[in-house]
This record gives sequence, C-alpha cells and structure tokens, in this order.
Amino acid sequence: MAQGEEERGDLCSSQAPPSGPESHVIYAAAAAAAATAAHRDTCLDFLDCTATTVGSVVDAALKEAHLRYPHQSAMLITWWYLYLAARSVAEQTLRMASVLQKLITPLFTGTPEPPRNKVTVVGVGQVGMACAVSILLRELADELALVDVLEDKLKGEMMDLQHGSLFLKTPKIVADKDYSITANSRIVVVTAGVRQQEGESRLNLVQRNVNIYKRIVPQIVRYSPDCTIIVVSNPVDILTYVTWKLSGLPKHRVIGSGTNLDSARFRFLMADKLGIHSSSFNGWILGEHGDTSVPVWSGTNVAGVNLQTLNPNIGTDFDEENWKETHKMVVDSAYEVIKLKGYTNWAIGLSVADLTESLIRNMNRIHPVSTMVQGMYGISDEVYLSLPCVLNSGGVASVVNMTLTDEEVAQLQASANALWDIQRDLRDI
Amino acid sequence: MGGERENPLVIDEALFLCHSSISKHGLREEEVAATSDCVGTHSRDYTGSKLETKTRQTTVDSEKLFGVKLKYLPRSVAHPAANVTLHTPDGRNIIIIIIIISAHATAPKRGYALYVHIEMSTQEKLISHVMKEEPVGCRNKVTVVGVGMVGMASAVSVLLKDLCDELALVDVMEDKLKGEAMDLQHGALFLKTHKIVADKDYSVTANSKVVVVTAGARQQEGESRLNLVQRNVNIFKFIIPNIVKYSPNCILLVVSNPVDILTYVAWKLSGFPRHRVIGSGTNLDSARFRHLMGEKFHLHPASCHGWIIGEHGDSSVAVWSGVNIAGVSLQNLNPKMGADGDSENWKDVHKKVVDGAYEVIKLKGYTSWAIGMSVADLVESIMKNLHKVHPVSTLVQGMHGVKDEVFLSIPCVLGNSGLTDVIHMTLKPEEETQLVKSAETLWGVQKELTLLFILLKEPIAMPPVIRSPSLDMFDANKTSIEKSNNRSRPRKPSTVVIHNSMSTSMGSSCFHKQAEPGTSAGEATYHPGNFRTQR
Repeated sequence: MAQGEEERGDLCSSQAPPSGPESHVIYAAAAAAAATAAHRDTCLDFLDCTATTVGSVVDAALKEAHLRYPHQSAMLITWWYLYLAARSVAEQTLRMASVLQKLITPLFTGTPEPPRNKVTVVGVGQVGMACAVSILLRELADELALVDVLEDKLKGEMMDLQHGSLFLKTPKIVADKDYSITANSRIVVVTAGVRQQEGESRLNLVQRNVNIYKRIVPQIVRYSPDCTIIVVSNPVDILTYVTWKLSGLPKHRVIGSGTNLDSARFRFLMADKLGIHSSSFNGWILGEHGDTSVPVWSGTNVAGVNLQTLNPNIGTDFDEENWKETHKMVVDSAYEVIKLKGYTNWAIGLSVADLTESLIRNMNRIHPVSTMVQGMYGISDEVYLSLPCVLNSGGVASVVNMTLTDEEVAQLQASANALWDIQRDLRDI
Repeated sequence: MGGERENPLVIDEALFLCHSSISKHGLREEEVAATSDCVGTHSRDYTGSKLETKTRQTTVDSEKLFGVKLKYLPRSVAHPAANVTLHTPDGRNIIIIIIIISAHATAPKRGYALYVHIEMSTQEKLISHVMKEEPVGCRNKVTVVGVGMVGMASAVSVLLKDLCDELALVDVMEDKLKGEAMDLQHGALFLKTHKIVADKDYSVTANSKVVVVTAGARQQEGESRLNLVQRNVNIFKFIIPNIVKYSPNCILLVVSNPVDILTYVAWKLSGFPRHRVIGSGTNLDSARFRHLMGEKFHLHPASCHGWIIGEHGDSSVAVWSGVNIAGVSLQNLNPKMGADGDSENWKDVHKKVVDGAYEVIKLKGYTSWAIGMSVADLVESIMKNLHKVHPVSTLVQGMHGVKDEVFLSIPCVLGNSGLTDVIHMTLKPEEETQLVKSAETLWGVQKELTLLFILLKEPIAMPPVIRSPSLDMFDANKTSIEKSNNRSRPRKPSTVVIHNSMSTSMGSSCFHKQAEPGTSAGEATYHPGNFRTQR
C-alpha cells in the first residue's frame, strides 16, 4: 500500500519527459491512463501521445483516479494500471517496430519449424570447438548448440561463432549451461572431460571422465531421446560403453569416434611415403583407440593393388622396408603433438565432422568407429572396439566382417580383455 | 669417368639396390670392384652397410656388400657388351649380369662376373614415375604467418573451404608451430590441400599467392587496439621483408591489430604497390553488424546489407544510408536511424559491433573464429578472382576529404590481382567528418612510429633516430654524428628530423628510442625492449 503511494507520488512529480529504460513503463502507464481516460470519454487520443504530454497525461489520469477512488482501492487501481501497462508495452513495441516491420509481411505466424539437423557439442574446449567449427564450415547442421559448465567461455565462444554467421550456412547457434537448449538434436558430440597430459596414457583418465559423464549423459537423453551420440573424450572405447549404459539408448546409436582418426593418420602417413593423396590409400586401423590399435595390413591397398601381395612381410618385424614403423608413428602421433603444442584438436575435429556427415546425410559410408563388439571375433564381454561400420542416419547400420589373421584377432581379444578389466571396476553405471 | 663406360646398374630411375637379395638368392660373387651409377631415391642402412647416393653416382662398398675381401681395380673396367639386364617374368625384379674386365696395364686381363638380383621396394613395384620433367609445384599457395588462435582459425577456415593447394605456416615458436602443422596434416584425409608445411624459416613460404599476417601481440582485456602499435611494428620489421624476399608477387593480407596502421606499415616495409597490400579492416565489423541486423529481423545475415567503414576499432563509421534489405533502404522507413532520437536505437547496434570484440575477449580471452572466417572470405575472393566487394583497409588518401597517407576501410573490389578498385560511397557530411577524424588519429600515431623501415634500405651508418632532440637538429653545420652525440642537453620532446635522402618529419614522440649508454653513435639497435619501456 505504502509502496503504491510512493510510486504514484514519483510518477506524479515527474515533469520532464521520461527517457531511458523506464520510459516504456511510463509510456505504458501513460497509455494505460489515457486508455482509461479515453474510455471515460475524455479527449486524449492515445495514438498521438508524445513524450512531452506523457507526464501531464499520467498526472491527469492518476489524479483523477485518486479523486475517484481514494485510499483502499488505490492499490487495486495500481494493479489495474500495471496490467494495462503490460498490455500497452506489447502494443507499443509493436507499434514502434512496425515502422520497419512495414518492410516485412509475415505469411506464416505459427510456431517455427523445429530444426531438422541439429547438432549439439558438449564441451567447448579445444576439441569441442574444433568439432564445432568443422561441422559449421562443412555446412552440416541447421542449428548448433553448445553446452559446457564454464559459462563465460561458453558465451564467448558462442558470440565468436555468431559473429561469423554471415559466412556460414547454420542460421542458429545457441549456447547455455542448461541442457534444455540441446532439445531435438540429431547428433550429440560429447567432448567433455579431462584430457591427457604430456606422457599420460588415455586409460588414466577413466574414472574422472566417468564421473563427468554421469552428469552429462542423462541430461542429453532427456532432451534428445532420438539422437545419435558420438563420444570423443578419452579413453573413448570405455567412455562409449559408459555412455551406452548411462543413456539407455540402443547400441547402434552410441558411437565412439574410435580409430577413425588413427586410420586417417595411418592413411596420411602411408600415402605421404608413396607420394599420393590420403584418400587414394586405403588402410584400416581397428580395435582400441590407443596404444594397442590393430593395423590390418592385409587390407592395405592402392587402386586395388594389395600391398601385402607386393611385400609379403609388410608390417612384420622381418620387413626390410619397416612399414611397421608407420603404425608406430600413428600411435605415437597424438603424444607427439601434445608434447609440441599441448593438445590435439584440428585432426579430431575434422574426423568428427566426417562422421557427422555420414550420419546426417544418410550416406551409408564405412568408417572405423567404436561399436559394441560382443559376439564378434570371439569376444564375449560387453566392450566397444573399433570395427568398420556402415553409418547412416539411423546410426550404425551394420558392421563389415573383415578377414583378420589369427594374430589380429588375438590382438582384438586382448584389447577387449584389457578394457573389460577396467570397465568391470567402474561404479554406479 | 669415360663417357663410353657403361653404367651397369642403371636400368630405370626408380631402382635401388637391395642388399639382402644378393645373399638370399645365392648368386655367384666373384672378385670385382665396381663403380656403379645406382640411381636410388633412398639410402638404407641394412645389415650395417650404407648405400649412399650422391647425385647419380654411387660407390658400392664391395667388401661390406659381398662379405668378401675384394681387390680394388681401376675404374675403366666395365665392358659395355657384357652388361646385360634381364627382368623376371612378373616384371618386378631385375637380374643384372655385369662382367667387368680389368684394364690395368700390368695385370693380366681378368673378367669378373657379378650377378646382382635387384628387388624393387613396394613403392617401386606399385608406382612407376613417368614424368621426366620437374614437378610443377604449387599454384595456389597460401601462407599464414603466426600460429596463435587467429592464425590457426584462419588456416582451418581456408583449409575447410578448399582454397589452396599448399598451406605454409610460419612462426617463431618452433614446437607450437610443428605441433599445429602435424595436427593439420593428420586431418589431410578430410581435406583437399595436399601439402601443409611449416618452418621458422621463411623459405617455406616461397611462391605464395596470398600471405596472411596474423603475427603480433593481441589486445588484453580492456586494452585498446592502438596500444599494440609499436610492439607490432617491430615484429613486422622482421616479418615483412622475409615474406617479400620469398614471395615478391604475393598479396599481403594484414590481420594483426591495429590493422589500419599495420597495413600502412606493411605497405611501407614491403614496397609493394598499394593494390597488393590489404588490411582485413572492417570486413569483420560489417559481418557483426549484419549478424545483429539479421537477429533483429529474423533473417539470415546474407540478406541484410549494411556497411561499416573507416577504422577497424572504436571510431568505425556505420553508413546508415546504405543499410537495406532487398534493396529497401531502411533509413527511408526510419529517418532517425542511427541518430539519437531513434526509437529503435540503431546506434546501439553499431555500438554492439564496436564492443563486440571487447566482450568476447572478456568472456573467452580472445576472438578467433569470426576473424578466421572473415579472412577465409577475403582469401576466397582473391584466390577465385571473384571481383567481390568487401570493406577492407586500403589507402584512402585523396578520398572523402582524407589528406593523410592512411589506410581505412572502404568497399573495395577484390580479385586475383588484389585490390583493384574502390567503391566511392556517397557519404553524409558527418560521416565524412568522422572518416577524416579517424584518419587524423591514425596519422597522429603513425607519425610517431620510428619509421626506420625507410632506413632498412639505407646503410646503417646514418644516424637514424634521435638521441637528444634539440634545436641543433636544424643546424646544418653540425654533422649528424655530432648532433646525436650531444647528449648533454636534457631531453625534451621536440620536432626531430632524420637526416637522409628521404627525410620525413616526425611528430613529437614518446616513442623515440632512448640512447643506451654503451651504443655508438649512429648505430641502429632496435630492440623491442626499448620500446616497451616507453609505455
């Protein structure tokens, strides 16, 4: 009651035309007052209200109200005015904007269509932003959502990307700490988590990243129950398993970025030795994304010419040309880049964009990604390892049965056992 | 040796000697010395013996090779007719029979037969090189100088837009540089740029079409772009001549801040004609403006047109008369646009553009993605010869009432020759005044720079900068060395004249170099540290 009187007192005493952010309220109050006055057959036409008359209008209207409805109903009147003010603010805004909205006549004023190719990137560190930028520059998404816990960094990254929206074909870029903005995503790329320090193995990061995932994954699935999740954080095979368990999604919709990057590195290094482009060299690295990945030498070929036929010792220790060294370089390359610049991001970002392209464009392309291999190659545990998978908009459509040597199968099984040993001990998933 | 001497082991340029097969295939080895031309592309260390290739001639260490002690015979030995080569049926292996006849004067003639079974490597079995000439090399090379956040964002944007066939990265931090190059190379499968090179040495940048210079200090939180001037000028004094040395026909695209001043500096230092030195300018500001405009109208920024020109920074000019959507001038619909009484507060939109960079820096520490994409947009227009109009920084002396030699952003046509034309905008008097004012501010800062790059082309013996600014500067009778030695007078800021054939008058400076006690007169020692202490 007392507050209402104070407000009225303030309004009544203002003589100068109001300006600044409160002016809307004043205008609205004036409009409201004038509306009420007009309703009572006074001569004010509220459409022609200008700033200079507002003060007097408010004065007049409120004085009139005070005269008519003294003491206890004054509060009621204030509330009534506030309601009218709210309504008038809306009208007023539209009226002011319509000067330029004269430009555009809407034909369809229903709710806008939901996005069809929305991609969410969880984690805006170096890897997350590299994935985001690669996806944007490849024009794969019609909406991009970014999520992280660091609010300032998140907002800064979103603004930086938005400032470049002239050059992009992704019209909507949003970011928030709250997962509700990720709703209706088709693909969710999870890069959140701690990263390897120099010399640190990927497996060391397990429990720390599992704890982070326990917070992230249920939220993702809550808002995008039909999405496909691409897990990037290391150790990727274990975390893909964790994500699968935490999300409850069917296994073909949880993919680990796996050895897609290792294979890309392998193809680059081999092709570089031969003097050709990476895409003209075909070679697959499967299994664990890490120190025990398996290069399938029997599949390496250029233009269909199988390299193992040319050099039967390829990849073995007896090979004079030491092609095995190339695989070692692939395994070491991540550590080397981390040693030089502190982290790796561009290659993994491009690799994730490549996977996203197959998924969004329903391409049925084959990529070596981390998928559930229980039941294949004699593996009985629920582990995720990388095998050549056919990716389309449903996720992993099928898995290619590569012809592996006994040694390669043994390596896969060893990896599976090592992973299961660690997974067994994880709690609460 | 003798021209008629046959080269026993040259079959084909792609061969090389595989040591193991000699013992493996149990060939007959006889006492022989051989000097052979073995054109190999690799030298391999196998079982301890090394085959060295020096140009096209190789001396085979026969003892190690055959495990047999052999007498060395003089070289005029190989009998042409005795050299026979046979291919195995699958065409992949070669057997060579060499019969070498000693021509030693006193020794009896002896023949030696050497069977060498040469196994080609996997590569040679797979691929035969058929081109006789030198490879053409790169045609569309882009160099990025500086691998910080902006440099890498520019590099990645250029790569993802498939604009070049070779990318070179240069920086002073070697580890970071190598790491970034490796990281990009690992993504080569997903890119269409075959060659990504990086080195501290500028020779890797040779024959570039476009060189993007992002090197330099960046704004800290709250710091204005103009503060960075002197630090970045010093860095440019090292960079630009190196670039020009290796790519004398390139187009320089300057991104480091303050971009307008540094474009001027790059122009002066490089000696390039003005159409080949471009500053990224307000291309980004205009992009930000169009983004904000797009948000206001729920349209894509590409359909909202608005130009921000002038200084890339706090005093940029929004040309309200040009703001339009589908050709409909918005100022016609809202005559107060951009003025103070504007109910829609378009002035705030421009303010947000100016503040945009500061805000992003406050939130994440730097800006990278937007400027990277803006650079790629400009590089695209240049590489693809699009003749597209962009608001970029160019020499505006003589336009819009600007009298000083400054670079400001105006709409320019970009193509593969560079910045070939400028668009003459119809500006209101107040907009022109703003441009002139920006020009004056920039000229004020430019004047104070120790423009020693003029002297880079002069012998260093000339005393370059002021030791003691004093009135004897104007005394023609004193030699310059005397003048600069006169340090007894207290220093006070005053007009300074450089005595050389291209003397330029310099404004009073707080940037002039303080004399170090030990340095000899006339020595130009420009350490960045000197300038930093001035602040």
